[in-house]
Amino acid sequence: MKKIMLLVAVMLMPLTLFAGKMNIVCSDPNIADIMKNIAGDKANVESLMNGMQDPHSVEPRPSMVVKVRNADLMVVIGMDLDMWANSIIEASKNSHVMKGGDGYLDISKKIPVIEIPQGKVDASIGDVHIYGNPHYHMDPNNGKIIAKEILDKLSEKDPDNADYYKANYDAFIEKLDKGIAKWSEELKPFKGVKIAATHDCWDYFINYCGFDVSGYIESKPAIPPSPGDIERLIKKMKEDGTKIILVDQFYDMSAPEKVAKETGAKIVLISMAVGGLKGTDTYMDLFNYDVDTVVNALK
Amino acid sequence: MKKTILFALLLCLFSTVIFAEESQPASAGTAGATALPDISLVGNILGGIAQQPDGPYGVIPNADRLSLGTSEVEAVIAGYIYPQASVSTVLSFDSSGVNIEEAFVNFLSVLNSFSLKVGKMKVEFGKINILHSHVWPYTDAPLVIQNFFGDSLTGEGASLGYILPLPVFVKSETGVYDAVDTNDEFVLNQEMFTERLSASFALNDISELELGASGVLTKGPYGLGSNDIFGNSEELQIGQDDVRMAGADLTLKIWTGTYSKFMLQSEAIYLKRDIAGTIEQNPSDIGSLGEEKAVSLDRWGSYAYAGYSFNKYFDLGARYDWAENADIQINKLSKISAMVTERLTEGTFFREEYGYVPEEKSNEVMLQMVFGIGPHTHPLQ
Repeated sequence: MKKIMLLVAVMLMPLTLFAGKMNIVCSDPNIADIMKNIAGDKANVESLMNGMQDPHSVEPRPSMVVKVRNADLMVVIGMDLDMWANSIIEASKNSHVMKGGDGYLDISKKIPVIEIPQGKVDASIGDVHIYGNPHYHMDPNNGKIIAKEILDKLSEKDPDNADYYKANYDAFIEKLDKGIAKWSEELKPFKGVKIAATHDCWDYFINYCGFDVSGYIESKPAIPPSPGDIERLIKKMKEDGTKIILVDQFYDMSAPEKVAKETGAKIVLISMAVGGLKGTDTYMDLFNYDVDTVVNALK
Repeated sequence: MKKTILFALLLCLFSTVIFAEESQPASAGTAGATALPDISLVGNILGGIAQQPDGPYGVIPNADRLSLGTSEVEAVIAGYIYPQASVSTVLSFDSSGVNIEEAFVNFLSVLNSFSLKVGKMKVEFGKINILHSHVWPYTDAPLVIQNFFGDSLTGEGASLGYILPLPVFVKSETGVYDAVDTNDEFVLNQEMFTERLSASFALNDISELELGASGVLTKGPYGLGSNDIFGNSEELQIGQDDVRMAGADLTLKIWTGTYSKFMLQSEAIYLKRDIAGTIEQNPSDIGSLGEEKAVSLDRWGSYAYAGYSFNKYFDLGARYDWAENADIQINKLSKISAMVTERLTEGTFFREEYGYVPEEKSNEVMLQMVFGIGPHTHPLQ
């Protein structure tokens, strides 16, 4: 009987009991980097996906379940961008990190979302996110909102270290504000410039940079462009004098190359995620790289 | 009457979805409110042409000529009924009528360590039994699955899941059910006990190896309502055979790029059936009795699949099957299949599959279209 009770106790004991630090799992590397800045050495922080993965197409892996199984906090982008994470969270059997649990954080709740669709949403308009454009981390101003949500959650989960997190948060915000000022200065001469992009995932970044969009390679989100779509985009870009096409790090180059060849525009390869390209190892590096690359292309 | 009620219920639900979407106000982030469950429809249109009268394995509606037919439509209604408790209901509509394919409550976290599913569900045995056919990378079920399970191994009961407290993913799923008859091999309302142990290892950042072992104890019929191996007709005796199955499976996935992936998957299943009572063995003269003898069947089957996804839209695959049947009269068949899949979206695709059965020298070409509407997400595969 004693042996059975001991076995049951071991089965019910989470591995985190033996860890001194909090275990935090984020669905996205951008969120994970901001988390690392604020959590500091009080937490082990991991991202389920890496910067070279398309967040729309991540295939859940059983090995991810172990990370979430042992997590004290699970942070998601929300807005159905990382729906794939739901199956991992449910498979983990960790009630704390399930939706509604004290260890679940959906960062999107306080974000000023753009492009919230109206009316009936179905596949006739492409793969549209019904809650709005979820790629909000590509506006560094939203990085401040993300950081605040993280600070509030960490302080709630670990009040003994609230001051430590606040100090880290303040340092991160100061760093980010300096970055925003620098990038805004670099982008100022190019306000209103017409650009093209692969798809509307870039719209937060485009709005932040102050550009105007001539058009997208994908006229409907996640639908491969038809020859007619390409022709229409080429025509519009020529009319607007569009000089650059923003392309994400994992996008198929065949359509952008065709458009670039016909219009004389430059393909500007930038990253949507930390770790997506060399030199984008942190959230700050990501915007340093992307803004510098775009500005240099426009000069 | 049941069909009428079910159709009316679905009509009401779909109507609610339409009106709800038109009146839903704009909202920020996931804070937008909706009280509806996730409702989705998945259609599986199958057809083709084959040299064998039955297709040869039943998926082609009229095998003697090229034909297409809507094989099955699934309506999936899923949602939370309580914090950490969800319901998943799968209704399937096919030529035989409406069927509750699955309807279970999933308690996602019990004592923060276990999960509990209660209701009617596909049993966790092997790698693909729990998956709905529209997510398979091929059109028809492997021979061993068709021979040993029929459509799928389904039960009404409960299943307890547990992830072992180890640094790698190791999961145990233990089930107690009444087996649901899907073909002549297993019988209604007989107890079925199942166990599956699965482990997954991230070999590196871009590859993962999954290993599984499964077992089933249940009952089956004797005689299949037809003749024994000597042509003697025997009455069907329900639920008397002792049936035991054991399976081992392996899945290797290597992600070669953002959208490209190689997958190797293989399962081997062993079936042992101790036929209840005895079968008349060598009848000689008319009116005389032959020697009565107990019969025990040992049957094997396996398959191996290899496939490559070049990008979001195009997959190539090939599968080799080898299986004995589960009948008293043993039959062994193999099959070589090759398939091409073109995807419009994650849930909608076209597939062409060629199959060749060397023992019968028969060819078949299968055509499949699967369409999906709605937010039908799958459990971790």
